[in-house]
Amino acid sequence: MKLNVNSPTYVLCFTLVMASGFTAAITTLQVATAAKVRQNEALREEKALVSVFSLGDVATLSPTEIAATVRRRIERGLVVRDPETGRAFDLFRACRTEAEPGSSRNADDLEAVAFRFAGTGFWARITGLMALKPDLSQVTGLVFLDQAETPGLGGRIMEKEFQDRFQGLAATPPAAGAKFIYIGGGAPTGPSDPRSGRYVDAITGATQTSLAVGRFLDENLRQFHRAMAAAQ
Amino acid sequence: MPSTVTQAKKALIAELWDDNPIFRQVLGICSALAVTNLMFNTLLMCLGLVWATAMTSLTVSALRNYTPQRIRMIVQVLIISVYVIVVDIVFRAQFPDIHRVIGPYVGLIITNCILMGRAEAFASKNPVLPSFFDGLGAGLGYSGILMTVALIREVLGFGSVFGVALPAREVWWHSWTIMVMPPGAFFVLACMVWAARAHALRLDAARKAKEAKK
Repeated sequence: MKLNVNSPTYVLCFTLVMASGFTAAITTLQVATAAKVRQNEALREEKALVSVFSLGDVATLSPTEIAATVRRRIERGLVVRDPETGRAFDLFRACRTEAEPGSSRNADDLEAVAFRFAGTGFWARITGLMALKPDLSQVTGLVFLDQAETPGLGGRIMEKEFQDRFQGLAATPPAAGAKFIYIGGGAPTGPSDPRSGRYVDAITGATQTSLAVGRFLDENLRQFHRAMAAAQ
Repeated sequence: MPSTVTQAKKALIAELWDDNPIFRQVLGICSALAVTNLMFNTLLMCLGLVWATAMTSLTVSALRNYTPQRIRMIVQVLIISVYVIVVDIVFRAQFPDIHRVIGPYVGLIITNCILMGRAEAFASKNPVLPSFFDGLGAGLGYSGILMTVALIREVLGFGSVFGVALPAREVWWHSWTIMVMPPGAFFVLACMVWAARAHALRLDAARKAKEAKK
């Protein structure tokens, strides 16, 4: 018997079988790789935390060593909230000594704090972690996690050389009308310049990304300061 | 009547030059512009596309006698989507760092005209093996052009090949920013299409002259 492939019943059945078969195949593959994807994401965040707190070289440490460092040196799961905007920040605290999670620590054991920042770049959302001294006076590290800027131009924010430029910048609240961080637009002219100690060279050829990063980092730092003040 | 193997061989070779998706059919230009400023990203994109074109053509051909005419294009899009999603899932699980860089472009393979073009023009009318090689050839033909465009752009834009700086780069090389931006691909691709078509015309003319002499 020859199939009438153009009959409405056949078309309906064929569509259903095709859609169900392919959906099942994709779902199976998705489920099979879900654990691996979660593991990758966890490792990525752990690597970022070790990097931003300068607790080791993630290129030479094994995933197990990275996980152990994070577990023993970093307190996670804390949240602070900016009372003005209501925005919540994930807070991470790096300690000088190693201890198992949940054990009590002295206040002077705190080496640095970090928060997760986010903002809109030239093309899409950019996220990352910024570490500060415990008194929030200075930036001690910065790592970008996600971005979709132009590869080779704005995408160069992922380069360690660019991220290292933020180390040592002042993070105290600036004078009225001034910013926390300036990216590009010419180096400060002297100590009285409000950009002094807060300036980072932009990436050549990526002016828009650099401006956007400067803009949202300033906003994030401002909100994080308020959140930390409210939490104390 | 040519054997299936001969047909498959012809389909593969035709896609590499005579029916090259970019030179001759002007298909898949959008992604050719988007992903060709770094050779490594381009290579991974090309591998994903070769897999998707070959497997799509194979599946469309295998189902051609059972696919109702009126919904064949919807079915083709469904098949293309499945293979592209497979690429996305595998990259995400096995190469997370690379996936973060080219992830947005992988999804765009679905909209690449080459896949639909080959599925509709060849695979839906031909046996499985020639269709597979036609898809494979289309992917490889496309990849060859993209890798060449990427080579030119990366050398001129970054002074490197696969991220490795060229010798004495600081002496002779000056960053050509437009080569890193999408418009750079317009110029490179247009020049390449022009050169390839001019060469093809010369070859055709030579062939015709030879035939006339006979």
